[in-house]
Amino acid sequence: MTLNRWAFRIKRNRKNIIEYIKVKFLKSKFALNFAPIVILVYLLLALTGPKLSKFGEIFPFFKWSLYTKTPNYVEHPEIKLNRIGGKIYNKSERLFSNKEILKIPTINVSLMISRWYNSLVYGRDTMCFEYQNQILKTALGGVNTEYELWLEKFKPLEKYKSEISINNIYLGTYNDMELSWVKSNNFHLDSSSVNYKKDDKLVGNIDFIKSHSNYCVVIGWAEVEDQLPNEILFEFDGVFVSKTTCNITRDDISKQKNNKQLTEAGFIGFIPQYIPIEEYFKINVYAVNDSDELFLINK
Amino acid sequence: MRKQIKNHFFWKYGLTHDGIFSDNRLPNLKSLLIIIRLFYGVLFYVMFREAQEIDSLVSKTISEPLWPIIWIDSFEFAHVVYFLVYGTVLCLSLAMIFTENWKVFIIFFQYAAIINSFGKISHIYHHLLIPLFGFIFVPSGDSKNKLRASVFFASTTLFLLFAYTISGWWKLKTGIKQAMIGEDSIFSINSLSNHMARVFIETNESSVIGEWLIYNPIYGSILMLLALYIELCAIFILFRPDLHRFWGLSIAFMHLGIMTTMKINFPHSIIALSVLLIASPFAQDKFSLKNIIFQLPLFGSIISGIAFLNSKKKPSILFYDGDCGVCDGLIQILLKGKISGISFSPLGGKSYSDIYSEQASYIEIDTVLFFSQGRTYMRTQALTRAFLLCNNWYKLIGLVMIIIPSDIMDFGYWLFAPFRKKLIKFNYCSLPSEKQRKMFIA
Repeated sequence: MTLNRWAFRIKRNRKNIIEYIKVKFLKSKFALNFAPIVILVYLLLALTGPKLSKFGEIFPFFKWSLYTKTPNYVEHPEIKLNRIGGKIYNKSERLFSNKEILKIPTINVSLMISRWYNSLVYGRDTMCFEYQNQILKTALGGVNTEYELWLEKFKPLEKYKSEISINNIYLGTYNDMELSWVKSNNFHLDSSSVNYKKDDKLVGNIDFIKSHSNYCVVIGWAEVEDQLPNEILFEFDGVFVSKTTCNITRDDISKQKNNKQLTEAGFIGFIPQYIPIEEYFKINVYAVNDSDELFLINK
Repeated sequence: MRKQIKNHFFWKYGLTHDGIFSDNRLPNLKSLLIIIRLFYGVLFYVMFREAQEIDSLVSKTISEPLWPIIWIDSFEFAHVVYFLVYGTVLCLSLAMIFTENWKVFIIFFQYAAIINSFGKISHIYHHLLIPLFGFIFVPSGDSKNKLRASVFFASTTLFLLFAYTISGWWKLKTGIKQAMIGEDSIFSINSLSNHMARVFIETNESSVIGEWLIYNPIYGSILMLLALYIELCAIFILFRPDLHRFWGLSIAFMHLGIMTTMKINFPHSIIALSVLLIASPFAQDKFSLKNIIFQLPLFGSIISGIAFLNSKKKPSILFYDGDCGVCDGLIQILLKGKISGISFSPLGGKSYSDIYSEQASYIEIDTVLFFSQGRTYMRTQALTRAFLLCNNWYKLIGLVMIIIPSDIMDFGYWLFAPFRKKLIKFNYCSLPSEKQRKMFIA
């Protein structure tokens, strides 16, 4: 029987079908079919929730997937405080080392920071400013604050036992006066990517490009002549992007050089415009060596 | 209603001789309502405590209102909070007297939505919402509603067990995936240690036991596997009322362990567990460790099979479906296996009625039963025991069946059972010998 015929039959017998459902399932057998129906609906909403809702679930249909993955290698965004209210820290301090200033439980703050980090770097939604505001207002009580966002990459057991982070990635300084994530572009990271030999002098790769409404994120790493490059330059459509917006500066890289654990310069660059996916090929990233020679990373 | 249960694809498994809907298990309406009111009483206390801290809630700002409270912007936030907190307390006090369950659910649901609208959906109230929702449908007053009320109560218990089972399922699924790519998984020694180290680093918290477990990961891995077993198999408990209390306590201790080691609290889950499992109206007061062990999901059938193998054999009866070709075929196979110490009787026959008395007319008969020494085994467990009584190499079939968990074999039977009468038809019947004929009783 064709689909059309079925549709016609259903239309013609609509009243009967509704009556049938009412009588068979809801009235006479409601008590018995209650559990199977609720479970089916629950499963449907719990499984589709992560895709349909920005919260990752449709309240209260939770898919109970907490602590399912054994953490082998953790990327954990963290905030370090430079200033809060009248108190200025000489050396930036972990937010969670100062729990007394938090207005809500640490586990909630931790999730807020993760959301902010994800929206900032991966652009999973457009809530970046709202999330940062949440941290400022809800977690820190709205006082004047300046803080740094870091991404910690670690193996939990190693870090817990030896207290050594494998990689710390600096992602900029922020304050409550302006949301300065596009403006302060001294982003760099120390990538733990597998070494990929490109030629004799340059090792590096672009790991990630994603365009958002008004900016484009480029993430990667590079090493020139077995050393950290002196600078990372970004070019789009033949034009070098202004130094104030997204270059990784010599100063930033010198910070990495001081850290003896590191060999490669990681970077996160923000090109301050929307770039459609078909124009990604126009993005060029260069690593600059001590002699100011340019090496194209994405060749 | 019993007839409907008997024909229902799911609940019929509760209508066995010792199932949750059997006469000796079925709770009376009064005891069900006492448990429900007790639950409202505990919740009343919880909300009373929360009402004391209402000012801290009022001083907060909602950042992302969830869908149940999209109307919140039309009112003053403080007014809404006062209305919901005191409204919940009032509704709970009324529910304890008049059992007006739906009002409690609606208002508490809104309150839970507010608590989860500060940027993070914490799951502390989710377990409480389960009984609150399920109890809406439990009828009160008329004692004729006893069975109907029991079905709704059992449904609510099922929802809670289901939540734990899917939690276990994700752990198992992700664990297998991680193990296949060579990562530390739930099956690794470092599993719990990794979780704890991560939580401690991220939250800057620590605990004495948690730290000890990080440095002694073997104990952590045992606990992790135990937790996986308890969660994953939770749903199997529904139709095993003897395990309700034991399982409820096991999950409660699991939460207690998480609370002590990782400082992650689930106090409200304990309340839901206490009401639906620890105080289960389907469980009997008599405690039998042997019963609990023999009914454990996956392992219970293996242990009880081994115990049966080593026990002194006493006369047994195998009840079978006389209309089923597969059952007839099985009897023929068992006779070829030179089975002894057993009688065969059709389900619904005189012996069946004598043993199961009044329940005989309505309990589920869509299976094979093995009755021995006052205990009844069903489906594949019954078959295993029957094969173990064979006196030639057919006994090997029973020995192999012992090591396969009956839950897995029963699942296979469950898939096959609806088609068994259509798929396999025996048009012949071998003539039993004089000795064999004596084994068949009415």
